[in-house]
Amino acid sequence: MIMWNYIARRLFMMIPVLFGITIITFIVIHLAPGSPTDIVAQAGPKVSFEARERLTKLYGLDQPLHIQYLNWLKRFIKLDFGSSFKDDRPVMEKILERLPATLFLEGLSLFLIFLIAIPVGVLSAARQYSIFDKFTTILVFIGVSVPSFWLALLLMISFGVKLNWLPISGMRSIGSEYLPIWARTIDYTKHLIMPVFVSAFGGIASLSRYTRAGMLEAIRQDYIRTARAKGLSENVVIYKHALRNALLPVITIVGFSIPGLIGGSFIIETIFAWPGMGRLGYLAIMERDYPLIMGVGAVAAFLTLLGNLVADILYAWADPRVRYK
Amino acid sequence: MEKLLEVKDLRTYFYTDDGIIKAVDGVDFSLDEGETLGLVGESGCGKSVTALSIMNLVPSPGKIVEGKIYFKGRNLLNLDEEETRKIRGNEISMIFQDPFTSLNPVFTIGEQIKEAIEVHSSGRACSATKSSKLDHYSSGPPVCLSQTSGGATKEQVFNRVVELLKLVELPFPEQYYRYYPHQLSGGMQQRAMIAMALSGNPSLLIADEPTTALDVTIQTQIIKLLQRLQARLNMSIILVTHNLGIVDEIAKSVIVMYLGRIMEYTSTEDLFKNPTHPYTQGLLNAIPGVHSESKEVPRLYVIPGTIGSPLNLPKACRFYPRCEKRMKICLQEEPPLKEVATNHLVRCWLA
Repeated sequence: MIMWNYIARRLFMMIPVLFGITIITFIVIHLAPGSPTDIVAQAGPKVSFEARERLTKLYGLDQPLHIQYLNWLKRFIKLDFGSSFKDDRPVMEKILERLPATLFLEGLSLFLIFLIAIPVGVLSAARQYSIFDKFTTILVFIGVSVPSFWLALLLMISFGVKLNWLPISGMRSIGSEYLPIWARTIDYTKHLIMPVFVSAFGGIASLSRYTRAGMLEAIRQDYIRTARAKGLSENVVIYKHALRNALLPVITIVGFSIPGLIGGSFIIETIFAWPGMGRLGYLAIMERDYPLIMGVGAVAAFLTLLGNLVADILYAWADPRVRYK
Repeated sequence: MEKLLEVKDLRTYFYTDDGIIKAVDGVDFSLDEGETLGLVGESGCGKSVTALSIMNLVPSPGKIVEGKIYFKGRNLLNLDEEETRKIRGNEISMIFQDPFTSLNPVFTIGEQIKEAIEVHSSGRACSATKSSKLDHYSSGPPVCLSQTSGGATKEQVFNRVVELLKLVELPFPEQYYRYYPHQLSGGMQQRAMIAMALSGNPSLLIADEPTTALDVTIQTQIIKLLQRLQARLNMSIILVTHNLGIVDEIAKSVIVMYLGRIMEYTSTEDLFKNPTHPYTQGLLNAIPGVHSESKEVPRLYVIPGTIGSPLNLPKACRFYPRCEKRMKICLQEEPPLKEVATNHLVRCWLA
């Protein structure tokens, strides 16, 4: 019961934050040089001044900025994101058709980050200064230092172009829908490997470091000495008593890492031509498609806040000291 | 009579980057069954390290470099990891200074006690004398955990936990089973720690400053509890403490340590009546007395200086730099631990 109250309160508190995010996004995109009409004008140099004026009026860009924002907000409250400048399709529809691809890619990356980073972090803490620990330290250093776009290009050149093992772009091959189910699955998986790997790479590096630090911190605590004094085996001491405590801060870090994943999706999806929301957002920015940018921004902000909320709930679930407050 | 515990020439050193710290440097003592031994001295004297050495739980970079620790005739330092674990928390248990940090925050009290029972429930011989000790006091069925090869049933373990919680005089033991450490007060946390330590019916309980983190009224409660438990369970206690008042209350004999060495080792009665080492005298003088309001309160005695760096030990007598009765010889040669009276050992040239 207390938990539901807490969740409701947190959801309610998301409203002002979301409001603030949309204001900032709105200001920033209007501060950026260029306007949607420029794109149209570039398409045909003969487009007359009057035609541009007409478009400006049509989009409502002739009005003062705060009126424009209020107009947007009025529609947003009714969950109407407006229509794209580019093809006049509803923004909501455009986002919803792209969102699953992004959630799938990022969900898989997040899963992979957990699956690899936590065991690696725990093992390198349990065997601090061992060969394994030193080796992973170097890998982690590389992992956090290498920019993801560069890694993506490198992988595309080696595995895509030179070796020709993996497709370099898209989500499936052309005509794959005519293949039998197993062949389709293989085709789909092949397309996934590089984007997921690049997306997870930095996350694995940093999360394994956090896990290692959390573990080393936990191992130094008094209750570990108590556990040993009970006569428990070293395995139980480390993997039960220390691990459970070490994972608490990791939950918080996962909450923080969700914005990073969403931000990263803009780059990774663009490089790999992944038909997701990130790429949609990138193209919208390039085309100054204001309603679409605002829509993508609002959805990304909502997902981030939701991720943080989930992390907080998980934290309360995992840590009895928070739960009983 | 065979001694329960005999420590011979124990040396535990810490190999730090700055040099070797001789935390415990040649300590000998012994303990009878049911006896309580007080281990006193200032912080950094090697009391806790002595205690941890008996448990073989000296933290890295510390190492027991020499010595023998005979427990029921077996040298604990010759046992392998597996055999050591069978003794830890079972025949020899330990409780610590700060019960709050010593309990794992994410498991309930019950779970943590249960774990201590379960880890020792298989492969332990259930001698009639051991199990009968508790039977008079427990309301539940006697738990002799290793009779069946598969260990105890869930219900048996639960009952045993409840029985232990009752033993340490926690009210509503069934309820406390489900509590997390942070939901308990300091005194209750320490009781839970004691319950955990008693789960294996230990012959020896090592209490490392069990009351230092607690307030004064709770201190007395815990000490009284330990006394009652000792009488019931006939266990020996090694009590590490700063508090000479507590020693006077429950210990039969006392060791005064200074910088890794035993300075004075005698019966409690003797120590208070006839303190011989200048360090012991200093410690006793530093206890605040009770004065009536009308009289002027005398200034409390302080041993001059602070405990020196264990990295840079005085060449001869380790107490020399702070001693008010120092002589020339104290700088040239370290005094031996001399028997000045029956069972009264003192390491001082004056003795």
